[in-house]
Amino acid sequence: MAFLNHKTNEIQLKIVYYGPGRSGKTTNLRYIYENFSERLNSKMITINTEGERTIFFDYFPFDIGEIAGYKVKVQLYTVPGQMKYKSTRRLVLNGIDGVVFVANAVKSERRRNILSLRDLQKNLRHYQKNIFQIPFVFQYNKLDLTKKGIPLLSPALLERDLNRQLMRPAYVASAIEGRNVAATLKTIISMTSQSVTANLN
Amino acid sequence: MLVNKAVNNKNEIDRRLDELFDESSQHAVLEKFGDSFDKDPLVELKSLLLSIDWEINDKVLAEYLTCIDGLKELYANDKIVFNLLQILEFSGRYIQKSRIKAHPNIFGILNSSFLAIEAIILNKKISYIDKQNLFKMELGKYRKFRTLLAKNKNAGIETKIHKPIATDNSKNDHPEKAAKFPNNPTAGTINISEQHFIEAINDIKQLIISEINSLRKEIKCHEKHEI
Amino acid sequence: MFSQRQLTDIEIVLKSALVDKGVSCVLLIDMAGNLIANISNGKSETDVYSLAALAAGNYGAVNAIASLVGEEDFSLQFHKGKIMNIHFKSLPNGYLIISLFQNDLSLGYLRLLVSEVSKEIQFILTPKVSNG
Repeated sequence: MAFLNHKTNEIQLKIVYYGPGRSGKTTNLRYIYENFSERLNSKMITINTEGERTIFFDYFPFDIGEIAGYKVKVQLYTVPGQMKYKSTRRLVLNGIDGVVFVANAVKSERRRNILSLRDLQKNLRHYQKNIFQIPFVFQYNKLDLTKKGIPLLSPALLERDLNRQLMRPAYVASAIEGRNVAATLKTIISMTSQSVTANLN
Repeated sequence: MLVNKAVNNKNEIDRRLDELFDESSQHAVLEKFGDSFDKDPLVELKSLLLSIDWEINDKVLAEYLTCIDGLKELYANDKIVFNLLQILEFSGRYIQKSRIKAHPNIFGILNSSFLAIEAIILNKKISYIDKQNLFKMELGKYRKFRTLLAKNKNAGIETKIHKPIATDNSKNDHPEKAAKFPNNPTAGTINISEQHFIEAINDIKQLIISEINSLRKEIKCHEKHEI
Repeated sequence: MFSQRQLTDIEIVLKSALVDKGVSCVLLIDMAGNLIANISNGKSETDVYSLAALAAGNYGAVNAIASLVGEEDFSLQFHKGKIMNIHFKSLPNGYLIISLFQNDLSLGYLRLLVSEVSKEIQFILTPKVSNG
């Protein structure tokens, strides 16, 4: 739940990038950090581990100015995607305000995407949150792999697998190239802020 | 002849068994260990100080003060060590009485007084002058601390946890509801009896004056003998 | 959601009971990693938002370890540095007091102070009965 500080007139929004392992969650954050950190005047926290895989979480906070008289501080988190880190995923979801679900568009990852979405729904329920009500954006990542001849799932198929019931905004993206990374982020921040200010009113 | 052989064998076995399981050598080992334990009489005190550093509770403080009592008996004839132990004792009692109201500087005094005692006891070759200087230094720190406490008291510096400014509105409008939700009994000040505090300070003052006087006498005697 | 009054009261308690006694910086956070209150002695600069997020994650992870080894929780969570140390104290309902302190402050003394402060903070955070 968005934390509202009446004393400092500040709202803290927690947005989590969720999805199966190696879908590009950390890459999203890294792209945002590398390209916008100066403007945002902030730094990203990555817990150092051996290898590239996230085993705890990444964290990137920044201010986006005033909305409805409140200073809005956005806190981006990623979760570790591998199945064995389910406890950590649940931990990181505590207090969540918005979700970016980063699906891996590679064909072989189809099942993992679906399982990860189910896992998210279960974890949200643990915190009495409804996946149908929480601000939510899909990102179908790894578009760049078509150039390498790797078979990808079509956006239509991904929509059918993941978004048929939720019917949320979705972007086809390439996090490594930065395509639609900012667009995804802007949409989720916008949705989350609107949801929070609506609740405030 | 055969009987003799059997007896000889038995004797040999017994001899060997006695050699192997000779208990007199065990006593020597134990005595040796005993000696080394005696070399550091401050082991228990050190461990209690570390415990206090880790967690302050009634049990540890009680054990600490008991340990100090034992050491005071042991060093009753060494005025300097005795007085340093007094400082440790008073510091411990102050913490015991004051708890969260204790001034944080007291812990520095505990540690440095202990280090002074350790330096004196473990160094058999330490000169009397050096011992004196160590004591003077610790006494100076302790006096400074007392002065600080007295100053804070005179300045009316609150050592309490400030009660929150706001009060519960419901308490004013609905007294019967307020009765169900009394203020947190631990909120606001925890009162140290001023009388006890002043008495403790006076006790310390008197003791230190008397000890310094007796030390002066000793120094004069010592100088006379050297001449 | 806390009222301005609650937040002011919390800051007063944290300052008088901890920072004025030698604690370098104290944070009150929730387990989602949100920073509720933050008071420091002004001598050091710490990225308190990141610290809050990491501390919440860390605390959650350590609690998970506690469950694994058959403990409800660990009553002392403390990290010792060369210069700066950090102590965690959990409150009911998912709050955490994080104290940053240097070696001139005894851990035992800090634990006494934090234990007292946590009672005060709990009282402030407890929802009061509202007028009909």
